[in-house]
Order: sequence, then structure tokens, then C-alpha cells
Amino acid sequence: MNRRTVFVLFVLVLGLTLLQGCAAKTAHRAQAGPLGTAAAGEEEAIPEDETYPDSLETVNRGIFAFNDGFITHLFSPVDTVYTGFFPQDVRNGFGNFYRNLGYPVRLVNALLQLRLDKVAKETASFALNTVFGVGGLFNVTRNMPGLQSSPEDFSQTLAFYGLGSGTYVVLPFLGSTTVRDVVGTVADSFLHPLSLITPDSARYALIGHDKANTASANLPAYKTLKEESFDHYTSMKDVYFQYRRGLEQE
Amino acid sequence: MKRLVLFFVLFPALALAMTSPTDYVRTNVDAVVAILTDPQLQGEEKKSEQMLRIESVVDGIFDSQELSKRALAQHWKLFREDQRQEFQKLFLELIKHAYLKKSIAYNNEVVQYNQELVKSETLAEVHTVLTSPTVNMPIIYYMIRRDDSWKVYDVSVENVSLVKNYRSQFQSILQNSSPDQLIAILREKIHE
Repeated sequence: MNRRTVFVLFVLVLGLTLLQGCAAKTAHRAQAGPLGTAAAGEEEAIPEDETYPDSLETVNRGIFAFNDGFITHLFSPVDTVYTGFFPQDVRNGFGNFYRNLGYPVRLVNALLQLRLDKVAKETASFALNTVFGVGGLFNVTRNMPGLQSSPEDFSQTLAFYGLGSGTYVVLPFLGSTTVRDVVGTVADSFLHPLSLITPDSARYALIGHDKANTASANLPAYKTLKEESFDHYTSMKDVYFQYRRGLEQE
Repeated sequence: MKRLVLFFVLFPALALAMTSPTDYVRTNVDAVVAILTDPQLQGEEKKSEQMLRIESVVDGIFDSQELSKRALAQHWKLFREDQRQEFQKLFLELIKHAYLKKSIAYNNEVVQYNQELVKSETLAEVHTVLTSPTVNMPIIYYMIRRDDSWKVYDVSVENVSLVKNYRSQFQSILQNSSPDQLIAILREKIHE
């Protein structure tokens, strides 16, 4: 099965799930009374309960538990070696480099969403970070308020055109996502410069390093969330949806 | 001048009106940072004193009723008055602990106050960015005006609201548990 076939399959799955998602969204809106939008008096501040589509919850919880075991018993000890070997500044440099490299993805999706302000910001940031940040290793635009822009991706583009997220999915090793985000990630990968690298082994090594480096940076937050939560799975799902919905609105 | 002083003595609410939500957050954040960077309070043996002092600042920042009401959402109505009181006390304790833990990780970050959105006479948002050499982290303080001061009823980091996150979890727990059981779970968590 080549990558194009995989992509077509994902689009088909997305289509089906989005139909479900949209229907669920409409039903949810119809149920949500005026309480959610604030009324007068004592009940004014009581918000409606959040609902996130999770039709695969049983399976998701199983994979989530597997991933948590993987993170705790394998990734975390390896991460201790990794962070001991590469100082924080070097790891930040890796992160900056990969983020800068993802410019085509952010550019095309900003264009698709007609966000010309973001197109300009992303382009200026990419140029400055590539030239003055040694190929993107240093994020020289980080403290330039005029150039800050939340990253766009294909899943957000689909949301922009009215498509729902589809159900929540927990993937082995890769963790939280939604059906729309899976499709978005696959579509974006075609635009990512790393996908052009040959041979395959070098490409997968770099993509793997990018993911692992990001996961390493997020590990302390993951541990804190686990420690402070009552229901780790629900807490993680909520963080994922809140974060992604926040990006969609920016 | 005397008249002016008398005016403010008689109308403290008007004097208070001059304290903006941003000023309130800034004053408290500055107080916490001052304790964290106080040379007299460095070192392991001073840790507990440092924490006690931060706790005394944090004690008054949050509005426990609003925090709880929003975290329980529709379930708030199912709680009796005594259960509400108990829940408020424990939930505030939990939020305070989380805040204290995060403050220990303080590493010379600087807080920038970017925007203040006044939503109504009683509600406001203070948009800040926590900047360190490695990350810029947007933090929003959601404020409610009580009789004598502004109070924080939610904090969001990178668009993720703390109270909403607890709401999702409480909602999931309350599907199969009673308010008393949730209160017991909360108590257990605090004593972990």
C-alpha cells in the first residue's frame, strides 16, 4: 500500500466520521439550553458540561494504559539518558530546527484558511530564523511580538471549513489525537520537507528524532498532569481537546 | 485634602475601583516572586518557611466558591449546602497545592502583562505571557469581582483551562459516584 493509497483511505474514514461528528454536534447544540450561555442571578456562572466525542473509549483507555506504561518504564528512563547527554539548549535547538522546517505546512494551511496575516508572519519568521538563526537552530523571532503566530495545520483547515473533529483516538506510542487530526497529520506530512529525505532510513530516523525530542520536552508536563489528575485518561483527553480547540480559534 | 481622605474613608468601594484586575494579579505575582528570589529564603532548610510564606499570599487569591461552582458545573445543584462548603474547602486546597508545586519550579521567568479584557462589571481576564529563555507560555487569569477585591476563579495555560480540566474529570466521576464519594476522593488526593 503506497502513501497515496493510505491518504485516500484516511480521507474516506474522515468523511464517515465527520458525518457522525457533525450530527453529534448539532444534537449537542440542540440539547444545550440557555444555561450554557449565561443567564441572570445565582446560576449565571454555571457552565454546561463539556462533552468530547469518544465512541472508542474502551479501546482508547486500553491503549492509553499501554502508552502510559511505555512512557513510565521505557521512554522515561531513556529520556533521562537523552537529557543527560544533550543539554537543554541543544534540545531546544533541535526543537527550533524541526519547527522552522515545518514552515511549508504552516504556510499552505494559513493560505487555505485565507489568513494572510499569518502567511506574512510565518514567512518573515522563517526567513529570519533560517538566515540569522543558523538554519533555524536558534529561534531569533521568539521575542518579537509582531511575529508571533499560532501554527496552522491541515486539521485546522478542515475545521475552518466546518468539519467536526470526529471521535477521540489514542494511538499506540503516538498518543492523543482525533480522526480529523490523524488525516490532517498524514496530509501535512506530504508537505513537510522531512518527507523528501532519502533513503527511507534517514527520513524515519529524523522524523523519529523530531517526535522523541518533542515528547521529551513535554514529559515533565505529562508527569505533572498525571500526578494532579483524578482520572488521568479524562484529564489528558480534556487537555487535548482544549488545546486543539484553542488553536482552531486563533 | 482632608475632604478627599474623608471621601475615600467613607467610600472604600470607590478607592477599590482604582485597583484594576491586572494590578491585582501583578501585586500577587510580584509578592510570590519576591519570596522565591529572597536571598534570606534560599536553601533546603528554608524551603518550608518559603512555602508557608507563598501559601499566605496564595490563600487570598482564589475565589473558592466560583472555582467550585464552575468545576462542578451542572452537578453543583446536586450538592447540599454542607457538601458545597466541604467541596469548596478541599478544592481550594487542591488548587493551592498545584500552584505551590508550580511555583517551586520557578526559574527566573518574567511575566509580561499583555492585555486586560473587562467582560462586565464583575468579570475580567488578564492575559499574560510567562517568558523564559526557552519558552513563551501564554497564561490567562480569569477574574471575578467580589465585594472587596478581584479574585481569580480560573487560570488557563496555553488555552487549557484548569477548572475546565477538573470539570471533565468530576463529570466523569459523578456519573458513577455520589457527591460524598467525590468529596472523599478529593480528600484522599490532598493527603496523598
